[in-house]
Amino acid sequence: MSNSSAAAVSERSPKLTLADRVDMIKNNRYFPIVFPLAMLAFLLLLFVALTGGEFMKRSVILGIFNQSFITGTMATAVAFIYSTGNVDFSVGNAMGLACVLGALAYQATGSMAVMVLVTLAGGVLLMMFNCTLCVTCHVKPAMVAIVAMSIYSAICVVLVGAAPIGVEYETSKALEGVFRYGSFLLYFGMCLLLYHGTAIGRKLRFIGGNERCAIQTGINAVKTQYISFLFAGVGVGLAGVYQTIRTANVASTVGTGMGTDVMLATVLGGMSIFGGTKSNCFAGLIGAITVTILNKGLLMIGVSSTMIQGIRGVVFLLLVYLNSERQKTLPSRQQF
Amino acid sequence: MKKNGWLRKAAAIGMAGVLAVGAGGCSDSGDTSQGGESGAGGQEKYKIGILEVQLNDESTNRADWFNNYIAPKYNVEFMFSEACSDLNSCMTFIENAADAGCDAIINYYAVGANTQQLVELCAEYDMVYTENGGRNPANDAVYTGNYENFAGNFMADQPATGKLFHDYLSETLDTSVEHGFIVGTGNAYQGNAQQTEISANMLGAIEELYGLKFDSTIEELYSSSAPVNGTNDKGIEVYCYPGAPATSGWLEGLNAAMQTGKYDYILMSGNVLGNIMTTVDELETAMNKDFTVIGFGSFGEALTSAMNSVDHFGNQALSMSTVKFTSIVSTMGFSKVYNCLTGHRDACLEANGEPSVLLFRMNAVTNPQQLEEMGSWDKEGKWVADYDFVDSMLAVKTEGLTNEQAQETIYKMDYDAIKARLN
Repeated sequence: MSNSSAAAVSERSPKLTLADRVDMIKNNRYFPIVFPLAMLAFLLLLFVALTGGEFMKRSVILGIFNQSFITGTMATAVAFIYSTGNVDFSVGNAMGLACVLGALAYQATGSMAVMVLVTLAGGVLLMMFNCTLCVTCHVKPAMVAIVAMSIYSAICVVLVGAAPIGVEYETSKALEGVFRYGSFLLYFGMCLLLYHGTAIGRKLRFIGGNERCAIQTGINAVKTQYISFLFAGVGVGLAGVYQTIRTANVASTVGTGMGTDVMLATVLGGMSIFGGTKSNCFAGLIGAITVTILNKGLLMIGVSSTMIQGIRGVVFLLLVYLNSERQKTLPSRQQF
Repeated sequence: MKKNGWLRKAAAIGMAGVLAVGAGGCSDSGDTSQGGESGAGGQEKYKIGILEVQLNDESTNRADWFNNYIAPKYNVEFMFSEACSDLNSCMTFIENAADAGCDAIINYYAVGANTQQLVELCAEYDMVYTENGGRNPANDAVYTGNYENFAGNFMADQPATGKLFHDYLSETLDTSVEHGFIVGTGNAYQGNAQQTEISANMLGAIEELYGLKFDSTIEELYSSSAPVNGTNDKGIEVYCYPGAPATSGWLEGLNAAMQTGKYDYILMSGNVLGNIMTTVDELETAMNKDFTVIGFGSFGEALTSAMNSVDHFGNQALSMSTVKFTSIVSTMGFSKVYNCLTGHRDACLEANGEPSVLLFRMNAVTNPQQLEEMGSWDKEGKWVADYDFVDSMLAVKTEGLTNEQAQETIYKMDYDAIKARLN
């Protein structure tokens, strides 16, 4: 094409405004992945600069992981549920009850292995119970979550009683090393593989995008949602184990409010809690690390805790605003 | 439309930027390693993390005392947490405080069962630790073991607090009339020491004054996590109602119990005045029944409003409550960590060498005038714990200070002594 004809084509093409260009970037399929990672990297570099490099100290980095582990694991787990469009915010209480059951098993047997297994089994069974109510009994997920939160927290209070249940401190600390990192990497790797490398993940996202359409293409929605709750249950149980070994005791209030933290981490990580085709299973982990970096970094540069709450709120709103998808046609489940 | 959208977005980003810059302006020029630094006067500068369990009038007053009164005089910097509601959030704050250069932690999240974990965590980061709460037998290892970073505890003298309620009921309850009692046992069932003592003393007073015998023990009544009737041989209606306003349905349950018409004394072991007084007022009017309210309290809008209100029958809406002076409590925590940081840990130890538990006594308040008088104290310019008092608790200022002397000094700060000094 000659220069003159190229210029003619260019003149005929509609001119894109800056807003259009930004919309194009936002609508790029990689944007929900790249944007939260970019924010994470930006915050990290910002605090490294503001603390004169102190932010890269080993203890700080380890602290960030320590503080992100539980929420990150939970958020990774519930991505399987959120993907299908089910918003289950009772996961914190389910984790709490799994912790209590595991701690009671430890009290009865004195074995940490039994504690780990019972906590894991507890997480799976509780999430399967939630799933049965949602999928088989067709109760709205939000209603199931509200009822489950009350039931689980009441059982925790009754089972724990007056004093928290203690778990041997030294053994707990020992499990924080290889066991915790190894099990997390194993679980996270498995989730990545299943969610992004197999048909299971595709089916989950399809159901989240349009359940009726997914069913009409031959996907067994009930079976797929049971699978999603199963993997979520493993994550909830695993997060329960991390919670127990971090604190070395379990109080009746354990897990309260965790459901909200998980939702915030998921949204901050760039995923809609209403699922859909752009869902991924690592958004929650990125979100959890982002929140931890923000909290730790601001404290380290001397910002007061009350101010931190305000800044965190503004950053959260900003990220959600920039990260959200606003359909110009009919509203969809992908909206935050 | 698009332009408007962009304006909104730009405004949002701008606001966030302004806030972030503003926050940065509040910071201390990014210096993160101030612990143990030498101050202007050659005095060591320490940074102390304050772990708060809730953010209210009391914590605001405490922050004012620490930041504006104590920090400049003793060359100390304070860092405050958000409201920590569980052990995990406490651990998170302690880790963050260590990274921010703190040398010590004063913990107001009083759950004794967690002491060992937090002492161990602080030891990892070489930080001194003290907490507002009692000694829990589950943590004996922390007291008997070699934890050089543990400075012990400080708390209210709970039996003395419980006795305030016992004494008030003994003085005012007309036993010639058959009253009905709702005893809000709060979190006594979870082992909360303050609420246990108050509940036990209230139930004990009812038992003594009516000469009755409960079918269950008093311990069984206040330890129940579910509402329970304190059935007894005299047929006096006693309803033990556990829980806190944060528990779903708690206020509704209290409302329902009051509406039965069996009870006219509402005795609350927890700090719930701000949650229940409206309900009490509405039911007094609706049922044309006079309720007498007695409850644990602390300085603030809720107590002031309750004590100064007149009920449907022209009586004082709140008959009796308790108050404490934040600066005295804070001095106890501050002196413990400061003594350890300055190499005088001995002043924090009992005679047997174990970390001590310092105690303070609460004050009863029974009328608005008394509340107004005490409420005017413990503020800027009128701190109950002034420099003389703080100095008398610090081994660097009071040579040869022992734990016993420190305890004696605190007990001397009673209502009369404070009044004589401040009025």
